[in-house]
Amino acid sequence: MRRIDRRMFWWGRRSGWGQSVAVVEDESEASLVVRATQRDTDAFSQLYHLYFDRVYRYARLRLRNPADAEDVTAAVFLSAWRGIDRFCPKHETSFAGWLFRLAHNTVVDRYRRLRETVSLDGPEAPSTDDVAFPSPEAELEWRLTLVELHKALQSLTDEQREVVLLRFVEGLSAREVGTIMGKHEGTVRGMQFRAIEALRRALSLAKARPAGG
Amino acid sequence: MRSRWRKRDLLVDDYARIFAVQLLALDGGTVPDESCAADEENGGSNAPMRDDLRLVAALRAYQVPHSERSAARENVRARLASAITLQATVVPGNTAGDELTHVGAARYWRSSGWRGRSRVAAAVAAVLAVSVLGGWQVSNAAAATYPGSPVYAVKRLEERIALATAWSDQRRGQVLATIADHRLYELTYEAGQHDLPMMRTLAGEYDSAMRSLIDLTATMQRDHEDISVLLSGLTHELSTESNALHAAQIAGNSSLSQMLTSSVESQRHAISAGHLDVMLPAPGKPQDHLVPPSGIAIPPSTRSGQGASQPSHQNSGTPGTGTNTGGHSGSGTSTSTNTGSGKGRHDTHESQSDHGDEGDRASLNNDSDSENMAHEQASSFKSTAPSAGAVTRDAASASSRTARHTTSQLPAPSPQRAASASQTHAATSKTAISASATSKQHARIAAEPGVPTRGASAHSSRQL
Repeated sequence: MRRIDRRMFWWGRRSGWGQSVAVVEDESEASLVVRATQRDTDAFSQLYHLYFDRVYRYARLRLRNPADAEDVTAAVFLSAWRGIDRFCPKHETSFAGWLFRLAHNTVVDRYRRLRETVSLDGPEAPSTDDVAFPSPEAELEWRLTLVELHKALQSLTDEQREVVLLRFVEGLSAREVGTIMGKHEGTVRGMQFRAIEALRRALSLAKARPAGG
Repeated sequence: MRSRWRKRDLLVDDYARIFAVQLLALDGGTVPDESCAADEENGGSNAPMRDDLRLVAALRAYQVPHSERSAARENVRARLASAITLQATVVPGNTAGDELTHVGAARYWRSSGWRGRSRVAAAVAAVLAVSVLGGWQVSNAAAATYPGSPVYAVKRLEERIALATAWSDQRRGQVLATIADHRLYELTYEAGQHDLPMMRTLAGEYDSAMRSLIDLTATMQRDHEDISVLLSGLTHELSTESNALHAAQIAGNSSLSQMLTSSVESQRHAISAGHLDVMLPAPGKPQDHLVPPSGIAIPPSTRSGQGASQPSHQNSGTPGTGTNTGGHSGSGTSTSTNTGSGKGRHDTHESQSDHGDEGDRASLNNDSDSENMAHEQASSFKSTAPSAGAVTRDAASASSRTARHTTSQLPAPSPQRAASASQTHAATSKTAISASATSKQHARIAAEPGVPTRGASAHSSRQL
């Protein structure tokens, strides 16, 4: 344990602990962003293709129905287009971080207007359209796991869900999540463990519930 | 979990660091089980971390269903394409008039130095001081201004303040409707000025306001709140927009009709998505019961007088019923004094007047009916929030402006007609205080034969 700990410590130092650990923007994306800041619609269109799935997934997991998620996604990209010339790579942590900050603000604004909390009913079960399964049992296992996961996600608090979604689902760094949520990086690190612990607990409860019932 | 790790003399921070590295490995394609296996071989138990990593792997693998995702992608792309086309892709130049417009303002503030900013701030402060001193009169003047006018900034400021201080959703919806009304009014005016960048800006802002209104109405409907007032306002705006679109199509103004068509499509989509029970206007047809906005005077996109070369539209107006399609007849166009600008209902009125007294009466009925309807809608829309401020006042005055434009483009009314119109006008505008003031003033001016209205002279001079 000690040996691994020490090794991990130096690895962490080398890789820049606290920096963006999950999203590494490649050169083409950086150039796309630069072109988009100059109001290049083609570049922005490519960025849209790159980020649509992630933004939509985030909105879909935060909001109750697909129509709301669609609205939020459209609003996020429209805001991004309007304010792309304000995006400064030097000050912002990454384009993804900036985009998700817009998404976070849009969702919060949406919540404020909708005055709703995420229902425990949750969204409908995810489909298996684009996943290949070796056997029906594997499909059933996958589906059950994801449905449970989805339900468990709805049982978290708002902040915990935000951390889980941004940090673990979308792969943003603790600093980026902190910037988005207006919290310190260390606070986010603490929150992420409480969140994942709560999620695990909710999942085990979700598993125990059918057996008990 | 954490206590268990503390027992093993591993601090939470260490756990966090290791976990972060494991996450990095996870992004690189390492399976959580493999990354924890080495530690277990050394007698350590990484079970909690392995469970956490499994959970994170499951979260990362989550995908929205493919069918839903692809449908959403296409929908959002269509909406974005529409909005981006409409939005200010071309920012207005830094001319004196454009500096204070909505889109140009942000760039201006960033680009200009402190001296320039203080100059603009002083100008805005002066205008505000005048507006405070002048009170209602300045606000009324500002409500009828166009981009480039010195008091246009006051109008925009009033709108922003009203939107920011809207105390309820219903009030917010009313303000949004008023803003949309203003933008449409300005858009049709700018169409006459052939200022394409400004038209794009205004069209984008109009569409944005309408979509916000639709979203708000849908939200309130979902919350089982009373949306009858908002629906009424929304229907009114959609009808006005439809009429403006029809007038633009008749006038052959392709840029305006294209912008409005995109806007209509976008709003239809939003309405259907929000499951709103709104009577949508039939595409390509004018609304009989509403007065078209200033779009009546929309000139064609070229100045060569395409209006006369347009195929003639049959006047389906039945004498006495006051219904017509708003098209223009060949005979009516030939008598027009505003040759070269395609017109909608004006020409219809002229052609009807050629048909004799019956047609004249029908035209009169039509005029007063449409004015009544516009005022009823405007007054019913604002009846729940009486006399709240300048922007609320503008909702009725904007509707009355559309009526004023309609009448102003007509030949000089006979005293009898004008008196009748003024009576009807005054009777129907009791609930809207400012609207009634405006319309009574208009009726008083219109009652003098041969004297064009103030709005008419201003507007027609701009058109010319």
